[in-house]
Amino acid sequence: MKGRRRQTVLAVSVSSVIAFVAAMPAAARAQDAAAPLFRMVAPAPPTEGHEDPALEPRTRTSLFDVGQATTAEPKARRACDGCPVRRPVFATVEVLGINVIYNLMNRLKKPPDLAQFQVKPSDWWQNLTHGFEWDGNAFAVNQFGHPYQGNNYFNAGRSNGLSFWESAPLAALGSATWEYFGEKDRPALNDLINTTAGGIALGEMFHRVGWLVRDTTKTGGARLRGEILGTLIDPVTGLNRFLSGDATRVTAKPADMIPVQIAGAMEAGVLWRASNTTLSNAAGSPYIQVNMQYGDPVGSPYRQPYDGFNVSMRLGGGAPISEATVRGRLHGHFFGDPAAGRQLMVVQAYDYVQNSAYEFGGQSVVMVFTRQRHAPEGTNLVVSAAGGAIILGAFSSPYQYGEARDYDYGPGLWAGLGATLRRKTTPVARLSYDMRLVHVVSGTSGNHVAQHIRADGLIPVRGRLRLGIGLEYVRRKVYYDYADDLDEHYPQARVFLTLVDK
Amino acid sequence: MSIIAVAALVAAGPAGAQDGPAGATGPKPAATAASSTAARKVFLGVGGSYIASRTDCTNCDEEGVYWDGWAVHVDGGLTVNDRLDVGAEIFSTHTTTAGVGMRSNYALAVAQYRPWASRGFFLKGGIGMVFFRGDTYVEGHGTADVKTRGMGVHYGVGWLIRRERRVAFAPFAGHYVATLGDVQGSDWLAENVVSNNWVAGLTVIIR
Repeated sequence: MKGRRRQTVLAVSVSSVIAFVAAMPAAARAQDAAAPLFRMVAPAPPTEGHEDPALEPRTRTSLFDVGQATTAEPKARRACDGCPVRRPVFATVEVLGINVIYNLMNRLKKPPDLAQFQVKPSDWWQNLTHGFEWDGNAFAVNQFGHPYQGNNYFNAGRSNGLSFWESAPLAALGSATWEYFGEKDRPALNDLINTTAGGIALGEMFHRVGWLVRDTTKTGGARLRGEILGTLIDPVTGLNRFLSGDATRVTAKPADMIPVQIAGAMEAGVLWRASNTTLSNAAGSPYIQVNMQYGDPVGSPYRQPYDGFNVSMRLGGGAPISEATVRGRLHGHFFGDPAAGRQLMVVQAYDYVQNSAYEFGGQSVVMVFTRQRHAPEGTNLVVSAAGGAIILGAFSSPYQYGEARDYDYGPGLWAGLGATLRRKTTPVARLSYDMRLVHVVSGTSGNHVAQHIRADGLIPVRGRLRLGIGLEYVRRKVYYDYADDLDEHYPQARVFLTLVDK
Repeated sequence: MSIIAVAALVAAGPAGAQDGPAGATGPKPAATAASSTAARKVFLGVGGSYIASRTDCTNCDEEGVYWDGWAVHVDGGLTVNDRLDVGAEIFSTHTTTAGVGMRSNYALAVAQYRPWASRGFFLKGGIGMVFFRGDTYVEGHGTADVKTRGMGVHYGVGWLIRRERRVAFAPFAGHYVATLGDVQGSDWLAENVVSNNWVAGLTVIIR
């Protein structure tokens, strides 16, 4: 029963992804209208958007103050003129309200799925006294639907003036209260972790992308279109902006929401993937992929969490959404002169891979050491070494757990090496290797070990048009405790067209 | 995690550690200047607690069995700023029923956050590994000596008393979850074992 529910959640998730994909070129244009379509360099962040903290005492907010914004409003409740009013209690109430909305949305379902969401106090008590278990939901629900739901909780905090780290507990609060009180099933540990960690990663990413398409200096139709598009990308922030009146206030854009640079590319092509056989036996699948680099996580000094991140999303290629990754810089420290390009970063990673051959999803935190070497004419080489923890990983399994779960869960380790040749901000060649180990604590006991080699390159065709070729090879071994071991390999090739900045 | 606790967290005003739009501005709390001298200090905590435990698995009796027992723990780490401590924790539980004992040792990375720099209330969370060992009693199958490991998750709340002093006390309540995967006994296999442990206790903290 639980495996068939939450289609509504997924529907909302998919619609937001589509909005996100559709918005990226618009985001680019909003950032710098004079720049080419797929590469934008933002102007230096305006200083007037950030007032001197010492001159700006805070005031306590009242419980249900939704903060109707006017130009006469004291600045004390905003961190900057374009920032949202700080309403921490309202943010908390809003998180609980989001759970009510999700519950009501799921109540539109027909029996027998409906019963799961007709919760009573006796169900709450049952959940509180029985504690956590692992659920048996489908991969997309657990690895994408829940992180998306967590993004809503997180952005209830962000859109009410809370910082990244202050908003993070709200993702946990929303998840915990949903698990205990939002549905009849016992709370699931995988949901708590995926909703919290994935919600933070997707939430900050969506929040910042949403701010790319808003131009708070404009009025009229252009302003409204930007606000609506931002709402599609980050619904909670958009809703709060319309409710508070911020959607029509003319201000400078918050300085923290302006990246030092932004680059994006959309590629379209065909993908061949084989499972335990050669590529010659594989059928081609069309796909569209969006890649975006927000800020310059490798080259710019650290200012705040997610001031630099990479996100990619692939539609098609074996599944409606076959791949989505987010890599956000949580912290960074340069050794010596930043121009020398030696940096140690803490990076949060969100992974979602679902295709006809295998599934992998995970929430990770890794240490990444990068070295950037500059060459003439804007070319640079970035090499990196990474290692860290997979907080919770999900790997496909031939054995089923529960009603709809064909994958194992567990924590693990991640190590990798990479080299990327970039011309300005555009990667023109890339070579990477990574290894992931997941120790199963829910599913079929054992250890998954996956190695992944990837090589991508772009060949000039005409003007800004490039022909891209990508080769990947995944080898996965599973050492089961009580079943026969698995040794699988998945070769993959992509051929695609993309536009780059000259 | 307690709703009230998190409400208090976000209602607490600007976060000292944050550099985002909200945290980047606003006056620093009164305690900041004094506590800034405490930044990067090492702390050590030891304590004990009462524990109520319920362990079940996918092929176990639906109702499960509640046990109780006691736990000891050791915390150590760094004070990052006046609101945040990070470090590691060893949390060792001992539960018994019908004279049969089990022991779980959690080794967790933990973070403790005080929403108000000037007050003792804190939220705590952690994740890491758990090592299980002991005579495991299974109805109908007697006991078996089991040794295994898995993932541990923790969240909780507490109150720091005498927080400005060298020796402080912290009564707390929390939830420790141990997920062990499949556990094999002499003639049984418990699938996807999860142990929920609710605890209440006291930590003595030395800075």
